[in-house]
Amino acid sequence: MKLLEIKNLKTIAEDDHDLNILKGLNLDIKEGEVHVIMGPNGSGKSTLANTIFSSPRYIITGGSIKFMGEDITGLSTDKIAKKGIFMSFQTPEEIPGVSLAQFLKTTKQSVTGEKVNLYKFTKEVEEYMSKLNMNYDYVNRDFNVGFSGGEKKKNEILQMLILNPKLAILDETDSGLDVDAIKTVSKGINLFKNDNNAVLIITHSTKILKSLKVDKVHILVDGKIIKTGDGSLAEIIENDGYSEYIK
Amino acid sequence: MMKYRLNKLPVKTTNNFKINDLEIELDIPKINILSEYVITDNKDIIINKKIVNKKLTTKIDLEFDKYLDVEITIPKNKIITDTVCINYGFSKDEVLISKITFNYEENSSCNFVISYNSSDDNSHFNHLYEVVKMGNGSNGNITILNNMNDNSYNFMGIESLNNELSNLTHNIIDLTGMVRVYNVYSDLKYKAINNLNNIYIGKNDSIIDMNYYLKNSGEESTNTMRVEGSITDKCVKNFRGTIDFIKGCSNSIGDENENCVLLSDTCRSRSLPQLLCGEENVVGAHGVSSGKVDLEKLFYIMSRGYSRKEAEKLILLANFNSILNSIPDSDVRDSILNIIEKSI
Amino acid sequence: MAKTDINNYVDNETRNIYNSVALNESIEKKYGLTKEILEEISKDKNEPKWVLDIRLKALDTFFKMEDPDWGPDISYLDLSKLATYVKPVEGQVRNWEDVPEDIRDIFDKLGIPESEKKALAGSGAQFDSEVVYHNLTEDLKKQGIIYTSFDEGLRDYPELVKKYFSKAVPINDHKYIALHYALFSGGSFVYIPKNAKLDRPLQSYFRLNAPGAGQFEHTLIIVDEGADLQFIEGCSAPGYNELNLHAGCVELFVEKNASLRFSTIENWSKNMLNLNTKKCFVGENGKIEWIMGSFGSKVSMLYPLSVLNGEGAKVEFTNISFAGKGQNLDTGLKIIHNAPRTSSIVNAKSISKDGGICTFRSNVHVKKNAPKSKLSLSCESLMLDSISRSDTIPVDTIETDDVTFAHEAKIGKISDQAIFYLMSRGLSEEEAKALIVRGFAEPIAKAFPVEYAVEMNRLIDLELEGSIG
Repeated sequence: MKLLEIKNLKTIAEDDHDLNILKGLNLDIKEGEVHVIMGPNGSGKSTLANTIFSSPRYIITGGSIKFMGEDITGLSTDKIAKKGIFMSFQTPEEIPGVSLAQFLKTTKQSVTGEKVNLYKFTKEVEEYMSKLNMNYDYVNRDFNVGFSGGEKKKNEILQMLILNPKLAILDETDSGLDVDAIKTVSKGINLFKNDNNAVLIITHSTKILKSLKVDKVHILVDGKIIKTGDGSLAEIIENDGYSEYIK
Repeated sequence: MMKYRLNKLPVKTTNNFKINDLEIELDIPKINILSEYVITDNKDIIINKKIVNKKLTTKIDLEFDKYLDVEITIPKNKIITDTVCINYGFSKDEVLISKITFNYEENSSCNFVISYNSSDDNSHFNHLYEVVKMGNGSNGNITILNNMNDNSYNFMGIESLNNELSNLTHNIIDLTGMVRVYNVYSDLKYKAINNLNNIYIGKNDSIIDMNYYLKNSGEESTNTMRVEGSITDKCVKNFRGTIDFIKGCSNSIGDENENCVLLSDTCRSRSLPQLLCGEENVVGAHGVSSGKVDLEKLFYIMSRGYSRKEAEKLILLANFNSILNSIPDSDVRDSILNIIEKSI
Repeated sequence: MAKTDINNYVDNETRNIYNSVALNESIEKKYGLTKEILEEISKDKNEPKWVLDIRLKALDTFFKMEDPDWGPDISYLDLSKLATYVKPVEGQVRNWEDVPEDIRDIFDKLGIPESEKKALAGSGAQFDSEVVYHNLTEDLKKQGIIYTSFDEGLRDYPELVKKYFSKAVPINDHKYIALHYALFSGGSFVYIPKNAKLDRPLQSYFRLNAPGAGQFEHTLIIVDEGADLQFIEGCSAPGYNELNLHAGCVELFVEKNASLRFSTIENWSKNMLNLNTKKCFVGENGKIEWIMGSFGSKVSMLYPLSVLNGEGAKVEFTNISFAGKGQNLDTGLKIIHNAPRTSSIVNAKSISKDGGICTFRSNVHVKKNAPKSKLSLSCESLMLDSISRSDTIPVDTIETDDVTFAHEAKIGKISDQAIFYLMSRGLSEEEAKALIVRGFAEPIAKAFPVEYAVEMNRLIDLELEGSIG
């Protein structure tokens, strides 16, 4: 079954209406698949992830986004989350005054619409955190405050595991991480992945892909996907770069 | 209705800036004290209550000729761990003019909560003059909760004399009312610590006017001011915070922070975070910020399934939390958090 | 003056260059403040009637208005003792050679003709009440660029001047602007036509030479659509015991897509009351940059106002004030955000020492009709001893929720640790302090055109002399 279906998507920047970013992007993701989007800086990779989530920074000027057959183009950000899409942010926000535990609990409740069983939930959080090599004491700290770059990214993966979405979009989750942290993040993705969900990884390095089974690799240049291939395409890019695709 | 100019700045600036004082039309009703403060029993403190027929005025500059006088003494070396609650419930057309004096004798310690509620929607008038005398080495934490109703009038003039090595924290939680005028004056001696924390929520046509003047007189004294609030509808908020480093107060610290979240394009926020400095060897800082809730943060939280309203509320509560954490009694803290959650 | 090496330039200067006095008596001096005096000045200048009318109305307004009841005390100002009009020479010239020798000598010492040759597209020099020299390169004249003394502007471009004069700063703005409009004399008039760009700045230099006199120059600059201009204002005066008064006025109009960088190095002597008024209107996507270094004067009260009237208009404000013994510098700014997507960046620093008082006073107002505006304000104050004062009095009014606004201020002394560190590297305490103060001022000095950054550093060195370094 098709999870995500993007047709001819076009966007401009909210603070500069003359700046065209996505210029007619098409993308289909089915259940059980792992997709990777690669591309040079400024090609529109992060814009794609943010646009799917109706970020206020971008304006959609054409095309459509469907999720499980339903048009979600421009739907408000929280409703998109509730539909079962998750996005791992490139730079996760800090929320002083709200603890990690409190945030996880509330977010789980708002996405599922059900009250969580506190005992079961705590166990679940504890288990995932230990699998992600996260110090459990962090649950009582303010959300992302004083976390290192790596800890913040692990926190994103933790939220993905806990919210258990149908589609997870990981925006540069590997950037700025050391080898061990990348391994932990990959482990988290494998933990999450099953035949009924899908992952879209946005990256410009192949390190994170090493331990993952990748179905499709897309090359995004100047707001359009200009080539799609299997996992081997990522390796070619790793070796040769994008020069072939940039005129 | 009479025209008043209240809550004047300690040092005047140009009138064009419209912040020297609060110009307001008021009807001062007849004093009509119907009930008494309800104070939790505590055998360790000494309480005197009486009605006094004398002039009462504060730095706000309103004048009355009769008031309810409450004098509380915390005896020398007495450490009181239970929070003492001082409550006043307004009803009918009540007009309360009162003075509460806290005498912290040497090395004593005690925490208080003063709360004002109302059982109806009538317009009540509340004027408090709070005087705090912090003896050497004493320790105090005073929380003032204004939770009357949206039609009420609240005037609070607070003065503290912070003697050597004393440590005083004020938490002003200001949630309701048509007109709310606050004046705080503190004078710090050697090694005294004074924390002024303030949360406000403004709605409708309400006016919130704050004028805080914290003086570092003694060496190694510390003044902090943290003000967090949100305003919406046609609410007008004026914040005037002054930290004054008096010559001779070397090694002192003064820090003021004000953050105002604006939730409508019809409200108005005016701030004057003033730093006056006549001493070289000090650390002074202020920061003010206002505007909408941070859009990036809002987007992040909404991407986790929160609606816009819920996300805004979460951010506001998070802002308030850092201040609420300075209320030592967790029960008091939780009940105030509950009231705030309801009023956002 | 030879200026081959920048370092020599800094090291060899002393305050003496600012203290030179012209020996020749000025040819005309007027005292007092009456209708008759104004009529005489106006007649001397051959002014049209509408200008005299403004003078008379302003005089009336002046007498009706009160002194400010805030800020520094200026009650000792006795206008009856003040020379309200001082004419140094007959007429204005276009060659430095034609300026009388003693006056030229002073400007030579200040490096004015030299910097004109090297770095300027045009320059003007005012001595007391009148402009003695004004020049603009021929190619710029051909482009339709106008740069004249204000009196010439009034004579040669009456329509243009009348259209803008007193439109930014009204005569009843405050008491001393009313005084200005009654007595104004000299100053510059600049018009940059549409899309014209100057690759070098224009500079006007104001010298108040006569003791016990007032200077009331009026500067009017219009930068038309799409044009760019850099303008530099310098001022100085020799030290006297008598009180001198400066009540100048600067009116700036920056039209759509235009930009203006207005730099001021103010180095009045310490017997000067500097009650100056500056205001700029900025149109759509226009930009005004204020760069100010305030070193001199006994009392300064100066708060340039920028009104961002067009969508996307910008203001950048950079200021450093340095108050030493007997000085009370009350400076700051005002900004009105009056259109969507306007932005302001403020970076103000002050240093006080030897009992000097620095006050930063600001008023920033974001109006309802200015959504998506961005403001970032920062003020830092450095106290070099405990007999000085440093006050920060910023007012911020926000009337729309859709705004990004942050205001930060810091106050403090030089860190002992930093001094210790530098002393461990062999610097004396004084050298260490001077180095740190210069570092503190550096970001502001950098904003000045390079020649003036040098002058600014020289002034900082002069200020630091005696007390530290």
